[in-house]
Amino acid sequence: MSPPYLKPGLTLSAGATNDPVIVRALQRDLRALGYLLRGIDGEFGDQTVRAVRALQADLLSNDGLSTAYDGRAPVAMTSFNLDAAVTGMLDQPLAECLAALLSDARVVTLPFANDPKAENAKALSEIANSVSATAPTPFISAMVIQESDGQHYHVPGKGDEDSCVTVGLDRNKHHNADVITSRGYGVGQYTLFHHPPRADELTDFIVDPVRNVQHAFAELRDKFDRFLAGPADRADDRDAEHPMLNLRLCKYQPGNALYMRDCRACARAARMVNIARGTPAYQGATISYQPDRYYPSAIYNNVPDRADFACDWPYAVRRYNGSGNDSFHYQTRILLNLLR
Amino acid sequence: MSLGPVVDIGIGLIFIYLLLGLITTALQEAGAGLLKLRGKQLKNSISDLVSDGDKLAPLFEQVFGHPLISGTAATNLPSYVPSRNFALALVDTLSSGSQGTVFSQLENGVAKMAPGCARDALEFFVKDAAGDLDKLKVAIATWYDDAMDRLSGVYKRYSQLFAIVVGLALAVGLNIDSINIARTLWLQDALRDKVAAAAQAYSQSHTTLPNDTVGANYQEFLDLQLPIGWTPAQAPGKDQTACATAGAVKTAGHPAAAVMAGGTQAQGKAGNCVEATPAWIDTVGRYFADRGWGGGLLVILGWLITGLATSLGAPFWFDTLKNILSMRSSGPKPPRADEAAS
Repeated sequence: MSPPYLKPGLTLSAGATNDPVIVRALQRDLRALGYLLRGIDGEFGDQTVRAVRALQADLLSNDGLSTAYDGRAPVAMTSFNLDAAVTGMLDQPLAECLAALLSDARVVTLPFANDPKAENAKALSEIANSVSATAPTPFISAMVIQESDGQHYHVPGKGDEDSCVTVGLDRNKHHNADVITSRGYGVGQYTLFHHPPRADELTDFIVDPVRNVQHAFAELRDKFDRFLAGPADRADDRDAEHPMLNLRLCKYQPGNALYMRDCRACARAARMVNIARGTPAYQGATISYQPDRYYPSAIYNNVPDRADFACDWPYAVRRYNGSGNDSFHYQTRILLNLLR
Repeated sequence: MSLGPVVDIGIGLIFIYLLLGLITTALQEAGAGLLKLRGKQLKNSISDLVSDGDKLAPLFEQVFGHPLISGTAATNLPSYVPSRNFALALVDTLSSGSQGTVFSQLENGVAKMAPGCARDALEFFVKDAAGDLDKLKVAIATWYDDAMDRLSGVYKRYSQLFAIVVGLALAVGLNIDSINIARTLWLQDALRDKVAAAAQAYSQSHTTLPNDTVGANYQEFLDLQLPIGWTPAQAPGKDQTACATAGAVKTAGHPAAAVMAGGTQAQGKAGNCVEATPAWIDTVGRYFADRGWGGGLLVILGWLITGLATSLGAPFWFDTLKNILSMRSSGPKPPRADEAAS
């Protein structure tokens, strides 16, 4: 069955009068292929333009390799033959590529949910109730809220049909703002650096929210074990605030019912600090909290002091996000979410 | 009531040792006070803990000068600091300049310390506390208490030595010869009864070890009129013979006697028995001369017994006295009618 936009002579672009039904169809496919951030509303707006540009850029340059260590894509986008430039406009050659992509069994498409709200609620409660010895569940829940606002499937607004798995799109390539360099999927925003995803990845963490978050547990624990005082890297804020201590998992012992579960109480009991633009990231740091495109405000009040926790998870949480100014914002947001 | 002269002699001797012990303790405290011994030892102990003995280290100066430590003494050299104060002062000093949690600042403070035993110990406590400030304070206080226990041990050994020295000095200086006293008590019933009665009265009037001054105890001691001291009256009837035998040295070879003989010969004309006030060495020499070799050794033995017995300490003798007296009598004196009614 060919897509509705595969019609001789049809073009779709921003600013032109487009048939909303056809635009919707395009948006749906772009969403399923992982190029559109969100919104199936029939309007060829900015997001749609960016999505088209990203697709065109991928067709030109994405050969399936990963910039990280998560393996290859099952197929190279460049093998779908597009010679034209990145225009942000749908024309028939692009429509043919899309048709080819959609009919290729190797190309994985993202699932849609019939009742995204219910699915999300179910996912969140499953996560909150899971007891893990790997990493503290309350921290994971706090991270889930920050990553995806608790939405594994997008909950569409009025006039919107987007109930697909939520994605986060990063464009970190220098000199080329069109190429999507990594994508986070679902409630835990598990990130892949190759595209399209493999079939096993789809079933593993794209479809199943609980399994999606399981990866987050494992990844957070990995950051704790190896990126704080560990073989892979050190956490500068922890080195400044706790230069002597060994890594601490929890103030309670394993076997205690509260072990790695009572994070909210610890967060509420901790000393509170206020952060503003220019506050040093940690004592003696050269960087400070600054607003940027991901975090428009650097003002946070009544944040639990990460140095006043009896465990080192606040530092691990920051490393989950990486390093630099953004990671400190991330850390602060998680600590605030813990209080809820 | 008496359980026999032997027990009474024992009581008498114990009472003597008790009083001497009290005098010794008082002298010791005065001496230590004069030398500010406790204060200096405490300062040394704290500097051992905090800066491996280096009293010039800035950390030590800050900790020792902290109001919680030096502020407890008028002279800036406290003789006692409770462990809680020490822990608070150390934590406060290490975490000062604070801009962050106390524990975090404290970690940085310890990290900046000069390497050594102090730093190692504190690092261990910090790691063990793992962020719990109260746990850390308890660990520091315990560490301090252990050091104070060690200091008490040193002090105790020191004071035992001091007690022996002072006890011997008193024994020799005042000529408190246990053997002579025992013999005298054996021979003189009246004196023995008087001493025993005095001991009993003392025991009954003091339920716990008293804190009287040296003077009070000394007076009590003298009141007993025991056979002590160096006055020549202790060697009755010997004066004339000493004068007559000045030339014929009975204890030939005895150094003190020879000096004495030489002394009096040098002093007075030969054969002249008008004696000037004898120099103390003359008194001692005559005393020994009167007793001969065996007697002289017994005197020295008596002194040793007194000295060592005194060094056992007043509390020991006080308890022993109480025990013997309770054995001796038929129980504590029943209260008088007017006392019972009140």
